[in-house]
Amino acid sequence: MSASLITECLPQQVLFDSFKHRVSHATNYLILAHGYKHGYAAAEKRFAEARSSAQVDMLTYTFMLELALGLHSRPGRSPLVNETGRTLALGLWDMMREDGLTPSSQFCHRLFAVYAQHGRLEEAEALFASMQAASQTMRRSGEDLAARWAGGDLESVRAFLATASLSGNSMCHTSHSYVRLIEACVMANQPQRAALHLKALQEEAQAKGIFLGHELTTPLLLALSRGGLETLDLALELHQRSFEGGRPCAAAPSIQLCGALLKQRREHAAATTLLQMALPRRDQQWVYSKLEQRLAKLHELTASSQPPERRPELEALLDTVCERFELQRPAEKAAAEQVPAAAPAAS
Amino acid sequence: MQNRGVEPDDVTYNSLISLCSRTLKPDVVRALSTLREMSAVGVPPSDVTLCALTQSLGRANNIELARSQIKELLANQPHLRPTTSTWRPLLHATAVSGDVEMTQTLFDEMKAACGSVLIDP
Repeated sequence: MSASLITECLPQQVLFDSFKHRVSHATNYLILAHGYKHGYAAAEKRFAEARSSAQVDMLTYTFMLELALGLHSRPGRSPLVNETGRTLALGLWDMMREDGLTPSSQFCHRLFAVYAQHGRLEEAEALFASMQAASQTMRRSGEDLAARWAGGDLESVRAFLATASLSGNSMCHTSHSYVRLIEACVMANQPQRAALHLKALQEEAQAKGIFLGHELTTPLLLALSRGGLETLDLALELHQRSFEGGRPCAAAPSIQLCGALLKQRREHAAATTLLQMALPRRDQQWVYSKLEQRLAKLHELTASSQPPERRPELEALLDTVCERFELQRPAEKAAAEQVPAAAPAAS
Repeated sequence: MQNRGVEPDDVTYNSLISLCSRTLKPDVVRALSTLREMSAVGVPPSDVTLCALTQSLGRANNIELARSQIKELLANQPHLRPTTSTWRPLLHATAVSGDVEMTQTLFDEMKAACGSVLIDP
């Protein structure tokens, strides 16, 4: 690096370093630890003490929300929270607004599910709209900052960073915000709303030239295939669109979608889903095990419930599925399993 | 990279150590052996290395080992400047385990190492 470049960069480095991450309050992690050790009431007591001395920030509320939802739901990662947890979460939201704090995107995402389970989906949508507005503000501020930085006016950059709420404005919407909102719609049994938000996501992605990858299609398919008939159609359409776009959906959500379609006796769509999913690796044994189960069910339903004139077409489709995954047809498998049993008798 | 004559630097090693925390089960052994390899090939660890290491050890809930590694690295590598990000994974791990005493201990250690300038009152 040349000497002139070093002198040019140094003040910028100093300015950058002056905005290092800070830990706002010592109490945050202790509140969380007390909550997990002694229960929500213990954390709430310490939270109230911190709040009375104005020592709460976004992280405090994030931890309290984690405790309110985590300690009042079924073990595991179930998004279903009981009445107490939901009331506590909404209470925290009100307190946070009273304290003038801006929530993070993750905080908003968790509230979507709370609102949905509380029958207040429209409030989740209103929150999402404010996240979209925050994104626009952030973008404008970012462009403004970039222009000042490029102009080399460091004093102006410093003044801008000190006044503009760039770091405080963290409630911008992301593609995951759409996913969480759609999940909330499915949870609230509002398929039309889910369809609307899915369309908005696809349009925004298209406008920005982004293709929906596995990180989005997987949670979307998992959520949509858990809903009713209408959301199942949405899942199917999304699955097909991903396939046509050259990025087939991952195995786990595709297999779940196939199972949901089988429950609705939509054998043709279920078989097509298997043909359009991403090809799993050979070492993913659980995928092949699930595939065999789905195929056996498909063969069974084809033989028992399809009208005779439709059977050949579906059987041909199932043959293609077997060839694609190099799986034996159920009849071949049954015959192969009989051979070892018969062998000792023959010898 | 090495086969093609590209020498790994601290960014390469930091990425590898960080990767050890992102697997389904954090790979502590590999994280530590990567750190040893760094020293062996003469790539000094950076502040980011310290963060990546505590991420792996914090996710594996191996707090004591993390504390001893931090102490050892800070003692042997005076150029390292730990930040609050170094301790956060450990603080979170102990808090989620409900270990109030250790959370307090870690917080005190963080304060002593980072200086109160990074911590609001």
